[in-house]
Amino acid sequence: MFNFLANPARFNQVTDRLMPATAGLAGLFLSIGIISALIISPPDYQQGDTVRIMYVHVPSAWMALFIYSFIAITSAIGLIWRHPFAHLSAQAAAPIGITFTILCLTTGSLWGKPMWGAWWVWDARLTSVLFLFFLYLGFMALNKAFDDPSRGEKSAAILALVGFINVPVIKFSVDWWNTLHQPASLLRADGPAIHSSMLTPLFLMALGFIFVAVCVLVTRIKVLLLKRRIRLMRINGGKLRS
Amino acid sequence: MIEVVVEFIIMGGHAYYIWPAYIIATVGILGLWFFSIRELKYQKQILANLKEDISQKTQQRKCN
Amino acid sequence: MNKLSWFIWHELKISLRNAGDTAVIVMFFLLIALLFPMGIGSSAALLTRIAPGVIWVAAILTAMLSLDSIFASDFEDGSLEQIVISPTPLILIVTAKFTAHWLITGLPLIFAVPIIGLIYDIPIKVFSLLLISMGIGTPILSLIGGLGAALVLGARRGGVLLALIVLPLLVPVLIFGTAAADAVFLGFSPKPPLLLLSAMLLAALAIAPSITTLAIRRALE
Repeated sequence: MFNFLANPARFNQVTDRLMPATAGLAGLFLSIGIISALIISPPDYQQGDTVRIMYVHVPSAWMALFIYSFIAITSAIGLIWRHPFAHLSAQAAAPIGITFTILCLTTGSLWGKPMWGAWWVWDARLTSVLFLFFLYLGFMALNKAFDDPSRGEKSAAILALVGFINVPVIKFSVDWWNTLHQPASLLRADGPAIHSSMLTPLFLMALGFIFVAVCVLVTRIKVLLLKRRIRLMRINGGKLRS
Repeated sequence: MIEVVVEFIIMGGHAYYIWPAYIIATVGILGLWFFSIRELKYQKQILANLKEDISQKTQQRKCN
Repeated sequence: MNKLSWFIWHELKISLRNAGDTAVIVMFFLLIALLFPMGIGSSAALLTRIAPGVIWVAAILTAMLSLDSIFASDFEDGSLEQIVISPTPLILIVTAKFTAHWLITGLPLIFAVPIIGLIYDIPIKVFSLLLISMGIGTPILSLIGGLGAALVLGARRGGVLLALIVLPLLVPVLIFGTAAADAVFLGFSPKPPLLLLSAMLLAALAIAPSITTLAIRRALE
């Protein structure tokens, strides 16, 4: 699969053909999802209408974690098989992941204000996502910090893997810290059980997010492929002139 | 009819939190997509310019 | 093992030549701890309560200050390249560098803690737990931080970048390190956080040197 897509011409050919369908599916799932989330689904018996924020908040959190796993896996492939396309995919996915992380944090904050009475609460999950945000930031910064791009992608790949090992540890430690400092008197954000009428919009939105992410990922990979090509042409052009 | 719409917009008194959440999510996702496509177009333009540049140079060289 | 201790001794000798660095690092550590009362106020009860957290945060920030140079000078003058191509296993030298770094910048902090302990008026029980947790925890700072330092070798603005990538990874150390001493205030057993901290030390010992060698090789490719 990786070898098949690693050829830029073939990658462009395949993705150009699949792009309209993917974008269409993204639009379809998101529009049905939003209608279902805002109109069809019932308000929560405890939280009222604020529960509707969940339908963007929770899928964003899923995407944030999912994309970080994607980055870790592609980074591992890149390091083990020295596959430049794998590094490229990881690099292209990072801005998408950080966008969903920021969405998760801001919508979480907007949900927290009416529920907890504060924009920020040191809830274990919110805090863990905040550190996930910094892991993303470190990955992106390290990627761009070198004059030689291939050096940056390797360092960043190692960092992504170390971070990936560390994510559960951070989550565990923050959970632990949270129970230590805040006795569990808060209303849990998502309650014990979710009714099926709430699951439908949740999954629709998640599917929509996934398809959007695929579209953006493909576009960003194309950008990076082009950048690489331009860089090579500039180097070769410079040789031609001299 | 209007009451239903107003009630929908008010969102049980939590409009201030729900609508911004959805607006931020929409703007964030569409913005990401938009900027990615714009970047792609920009890079394509650079590549086209570069190709033209190189072909001009080779032609000049032939003339010389 | 003999070889390892020889390398550690070698690294130590180099570092001890600039013993002033260690003094500066310890002073920085003390200074951070002294700034907190200036900002928060001199309420003795409050200071006693926040002391473990303040000391741990100060220790982590201090580590950031010294980690920058763990490989950088060898990288710049090209001796790191010599080390990599020499027959000595790179992991041995990396381990020696980490050990030396901890002995020069981690261990002195533990000796400086009593001064802060007096200023913040920490009860003796909290104080002893804090010393234990720092004894277990500060080597992790050298290990994870050293790994980060290898990753930013040759990067622009390496120092800031190092802090950005390493600080999130050190959050669990801060949490468990502080919790061990806070256990007295909050009334639970300090054993779980200390055990968790030890587990993290073992994991870091197992993983960090080998990944660091990988990162160094990548840096010199």
